[in-house]
Amino acid sequence: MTSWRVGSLFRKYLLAFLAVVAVPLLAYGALASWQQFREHRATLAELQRLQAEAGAQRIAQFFDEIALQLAWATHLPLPAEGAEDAHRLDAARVLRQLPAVTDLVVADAVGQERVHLSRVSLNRSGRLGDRSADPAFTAARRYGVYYSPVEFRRDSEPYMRIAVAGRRRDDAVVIAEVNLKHVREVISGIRVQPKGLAWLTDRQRRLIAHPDMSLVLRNTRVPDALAGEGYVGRVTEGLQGGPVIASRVAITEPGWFLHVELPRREADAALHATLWRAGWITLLGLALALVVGVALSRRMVGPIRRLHAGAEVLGAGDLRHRIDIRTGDELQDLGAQFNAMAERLQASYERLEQKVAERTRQLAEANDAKSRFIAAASHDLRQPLHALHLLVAQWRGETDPEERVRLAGAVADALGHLDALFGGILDLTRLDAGAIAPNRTVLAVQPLLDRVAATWATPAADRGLRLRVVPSRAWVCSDPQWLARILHNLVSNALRYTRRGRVLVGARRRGGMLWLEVHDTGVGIPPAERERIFQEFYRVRAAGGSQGEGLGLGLSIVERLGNLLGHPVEVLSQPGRGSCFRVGVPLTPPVPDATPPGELEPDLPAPADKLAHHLVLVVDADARVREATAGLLDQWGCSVVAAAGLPQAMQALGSLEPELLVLDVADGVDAALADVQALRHRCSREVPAVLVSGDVTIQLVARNGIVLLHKPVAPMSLRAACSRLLDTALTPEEAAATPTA
Amino acid sequence: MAPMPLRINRRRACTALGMALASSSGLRAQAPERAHIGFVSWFTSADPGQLEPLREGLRELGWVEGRNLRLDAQFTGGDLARTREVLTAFVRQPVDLIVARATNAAHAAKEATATIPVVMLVSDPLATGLVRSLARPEANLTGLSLQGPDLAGKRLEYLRALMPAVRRVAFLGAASDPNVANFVRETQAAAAGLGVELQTRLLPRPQAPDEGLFRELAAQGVGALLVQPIYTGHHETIVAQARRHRIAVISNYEVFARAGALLTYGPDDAALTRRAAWFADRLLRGARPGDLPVEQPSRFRLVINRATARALGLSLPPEMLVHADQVIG
Repeated sequence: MTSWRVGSLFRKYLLAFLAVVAVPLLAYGALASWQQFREHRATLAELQRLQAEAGAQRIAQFFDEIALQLAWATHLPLPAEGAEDAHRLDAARVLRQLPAVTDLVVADAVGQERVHLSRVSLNRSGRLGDRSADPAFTAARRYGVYYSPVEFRRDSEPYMRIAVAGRRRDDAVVIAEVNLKHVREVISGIRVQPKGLAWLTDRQRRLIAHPDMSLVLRNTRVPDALAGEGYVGRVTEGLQGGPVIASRVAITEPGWFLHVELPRREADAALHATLWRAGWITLLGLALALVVGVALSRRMVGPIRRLHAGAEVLGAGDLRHRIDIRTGDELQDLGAQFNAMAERLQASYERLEQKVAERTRQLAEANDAKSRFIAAASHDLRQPLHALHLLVAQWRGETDPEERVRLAGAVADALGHLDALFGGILDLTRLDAGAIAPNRTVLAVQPLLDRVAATWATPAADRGLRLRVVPSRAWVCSDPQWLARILHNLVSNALRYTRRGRVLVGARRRGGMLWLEVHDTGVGIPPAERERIFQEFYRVRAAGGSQGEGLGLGLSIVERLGNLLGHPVEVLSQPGRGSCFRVGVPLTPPVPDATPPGELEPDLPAPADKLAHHLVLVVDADARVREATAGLLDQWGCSVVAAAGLPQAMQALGSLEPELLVLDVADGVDAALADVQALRHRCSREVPAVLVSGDVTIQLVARNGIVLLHKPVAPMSLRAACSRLLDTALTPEEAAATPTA
Repeated sequence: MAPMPLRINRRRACTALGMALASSSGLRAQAPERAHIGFVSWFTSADPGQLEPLREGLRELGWVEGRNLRLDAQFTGGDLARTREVLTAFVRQPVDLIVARATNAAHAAKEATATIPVVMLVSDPLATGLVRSLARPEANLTGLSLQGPDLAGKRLEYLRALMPAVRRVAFLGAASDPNVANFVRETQAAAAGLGVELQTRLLPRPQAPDEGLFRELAAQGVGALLVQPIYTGHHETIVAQARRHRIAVISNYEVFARAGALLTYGPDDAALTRRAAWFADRLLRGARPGDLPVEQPSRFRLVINRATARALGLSLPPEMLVHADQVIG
């Protein structure tokens, strides 16, 4: 479907545009987001590290404070045994300072427990027991400060002991039981970002302090994923599930670890907001690009679609359609081109229609002319035939020899008339068929005029007319044979339509041309008929004018020959006063060596005696023509063998060898030539041949001893052709060998 | 350590994307629109301190009466039948949560329901068999241990510090209270350690003792009366009558000292009551009672009534002033 293809072009434009806009936009968005994400995480990790370290500081501070208070107590001089009450007051003050401490034990330098204060049980003093083996005592003595492992009382509450020894050897050692639930307050006080939290574990990964006390009381053990010596900004599963960003720092003093964790969702909330924003902006950009892309592609494809639709309408034949594109770019030019093309197409289409109408009219006219021609020709041919019938019938019944001679002369006249008629028709047909090629040459006009005078002086005189030929020394370029024919026809025509007066033939120079003019004092031609006088068989029917023996072909031949030679033919006429026909021939300078036109005369009769005693083979399928031809040749002194076809000819010839072939061209010139070749092959020599064709369109240049004649063939033409062929065919030896009459 | 079922359930329920959403704020997201809490106290309603801090704590956590909280408070005054009646009504409704004050009420609640979570405020849930473990209560009960009996000796010690001359003291307890045996035992052990003679007076249930008891104690030369905190609600009557017979009253809760008792030593009752609101909140939001360990107090308050001491002709020794968290009057 065509719209599908246009649609794909639209998509291509759109996709290309989107790719150009969207790819960099998305790439930049992704890159910027990634960068922002990394920076955000790095900042977060750094922040978390700082917060964890600050938190660890606070935890350490919490224990430092306890240790400091306990250290103060170690400096108090222990009273003698039994008088510990005063010391108890001091110890009570220390206890009061430390709410996390539940029990306070003061041991002397040798490890004897002297004072025991408690928030829960009874306070005691005096010799309370030996603590010298207590790790709290020994370690404190050795290292100054001792932190015990964490112990969960009643399986729930975390407790530890802190022991501090005085610096001097005889200083006391103070051991404190610390309820670690109080660390929760410190832990909860550590601000870890907005939604984060901090918690403490010991080395055994037991949870010691957490803002959610219940986790501690439940003795939660921290999963392995969260263990390790310390890390910053690790993304992992949090203590209570869910992904968190966690950091872990060591607190050296009690040997614990402070964790800070922030739910990843919270951590990335701001980032997500930024990314969402960036995403929206990108989407917005893409949407904008899409809209712009669609609009641009529409603008691109729209005119193309209109072009397409317009071309379709034009293609469907509506050439009046015009494509309207006003984009101001190449597409508009293209539309204009389409429109111009459509205009030209429309114009040529109209011209074509006109031409077709004209040609149709011409054809109709030609058809009319042909019908008229056939009607006229059949009428004109019937007249002499009718006369012949009558003469022949009269001749048969005539016994008077003189009268028979006169009748034979009348028969010959009628035949001459018929021959002339056929000659005219033949010429006309050959001219119409384009079968005549003009043979232009340079020639003097005077010999031409001389022949006119010689030919027509007698007929003019017979009609009581004066023929005057004005001499000329001009030279012209034309075909001598056909120019002579024009002139003869004009003179003949002038004589025919002139009843009295004279006919003047002359030449006149005008406009680089030589105009050969034939003036008469005849009937003249009415203006309405001037166009039609050149039509075949048209004869002016002037009042009282003789129809005479005119064929009505003369002027048609003149016109056609004028067209063929490129000579304009004009006619001037005054009805009742006379006419002037003239033909314009291009002038040339004189050429002294030019061949005299008289020698170009085509139908020179050959010497008649050449034909005698020669063997001629006549092949013609038509029996009447065959017999007439054979009879004529026989009359001319030839020996004749006649046959209907080649096989019969071969048979009839027997051993005889014909010297001349007269073949009817019935099945085309090629077949006839083949027959000639066959016969020549049989005789083993180049026997000359005359081909007689009824088809005037067949042309054959006379060569190789073969001549083509067109029907009807005048007996004299046949005789001339035969004589010439036999003359040229005979070699000198043969000529010598041939017996002469 | 044992896995936490709550965590596993949540992990199963949530997609990777939803995990962050459900982790910390997830509990809050599960909060029901409305909550109905049934509060039952073994005491009388005389002491507003047993309920008001809870109400405040709930309000701070977003549970406001009339908006999203209905709080049914019932005080049974030591009447077991009445307590059971109240609890049966709670279970029938049913309430979303029960807050039980005092060991008897907690026991009654435990009997009444095994499904409705119960937040208890009791002296010693481990010793009285309410739970088998403080860290993992395992039943539908959790809450706060007030460590009542633990401090019996300490109170006697402080009494001796204030009244060095006292030789004979009495303990007033309620026979129906499961803690009473512990109280008596702890107090007797301390008395023995301090060289003090202890008389035990047990009433059938927490009720204001009549004048005859004090007359009798005074006649026997008893200088001080240790009152089991179960008598909260009758504290003013007890203190007033004791004063008349010049007998010093000591007990756990500050409310006694404010009423005129010589001294009180015990956990911060108001703070613990407030803490019960935290338990209620967590349970209402879907936490399982077994996942919330029973909490014990870590702070104890010694409150001394100087006026009472003066009236009894006692002076305050410096050590006691150091120990005292508050001195009234």
